[in-house]
Amino acid sequence: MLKELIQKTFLLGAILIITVFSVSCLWAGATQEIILVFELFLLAFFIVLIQLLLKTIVFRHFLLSIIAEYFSVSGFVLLYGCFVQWFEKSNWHMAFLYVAVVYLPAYFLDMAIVKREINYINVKLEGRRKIEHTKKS
Amino acid sequence: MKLIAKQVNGKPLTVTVEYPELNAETERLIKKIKSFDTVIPGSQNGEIFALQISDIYYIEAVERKVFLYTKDSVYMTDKKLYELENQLSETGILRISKSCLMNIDMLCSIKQLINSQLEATLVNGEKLIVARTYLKSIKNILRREKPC
Repeated sequence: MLKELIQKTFLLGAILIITVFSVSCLWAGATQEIILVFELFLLAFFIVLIQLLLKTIVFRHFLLSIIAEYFSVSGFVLLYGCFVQWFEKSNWHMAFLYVAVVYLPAYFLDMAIVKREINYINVKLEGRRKIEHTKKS
Repeated sequence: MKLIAKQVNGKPLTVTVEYPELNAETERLIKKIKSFDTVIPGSQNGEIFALQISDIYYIEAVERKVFLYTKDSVYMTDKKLYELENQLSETGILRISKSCLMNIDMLCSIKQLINSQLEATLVNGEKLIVARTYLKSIKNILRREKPC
């Protein structure tokens, strides 16, 4: 419920932002802020594409998969950032920092969700065993 | 549970389940009866055996060969893993990784290892690796079961 609420809020927020800035672009032309918003949306598209492609490669360790994803996404953000002139030679490392800021909480959130799901499964399995035990005795 | 078994000539084998309320146990019983007719041919030392679904602990693909694991034996099958996955989707055998299907009735517990991998322990003590992607499908099967 909460997850769905957050997901839908973010999705609606993104649609509102792109709609408002697209209308502004038609009226006021492409200002620096409007270009930045479109660049961010394009970046998001490519990051999701990279994530989907990486999902087809199965890593034995989850940690390894998250590290591979982090470096792939950071590398792409760096290239994209250089292309659209977000980064200069002196602050290229900021790409890795920005991605880490997003990935670290996401990693810990994922760990917490998995832990909760495992607990749920184990409780259900325990319940099944109790029923079978009661039946046998 | 009351069991009534009677011989009725001229009729096919018929099982009727009467229940006061459809709960998890009844659903599992119905599922087991439904899967009774489903057998998977498995070969061992050149002999072909018809394996009951309820005897299978897990199914694993190793180097393009598919193996069926029972309590204390291993059988080989000509079927592909995805074919078995589709055929057995209603029986409680579900995919847990790219190369493995598991019988949920044989699952004892799941735990997360230090390296973030998920490990399933079966009732016979065997351990299998569960891919995170498939954790939700295990949860969904157990969630669908109504409490007794």
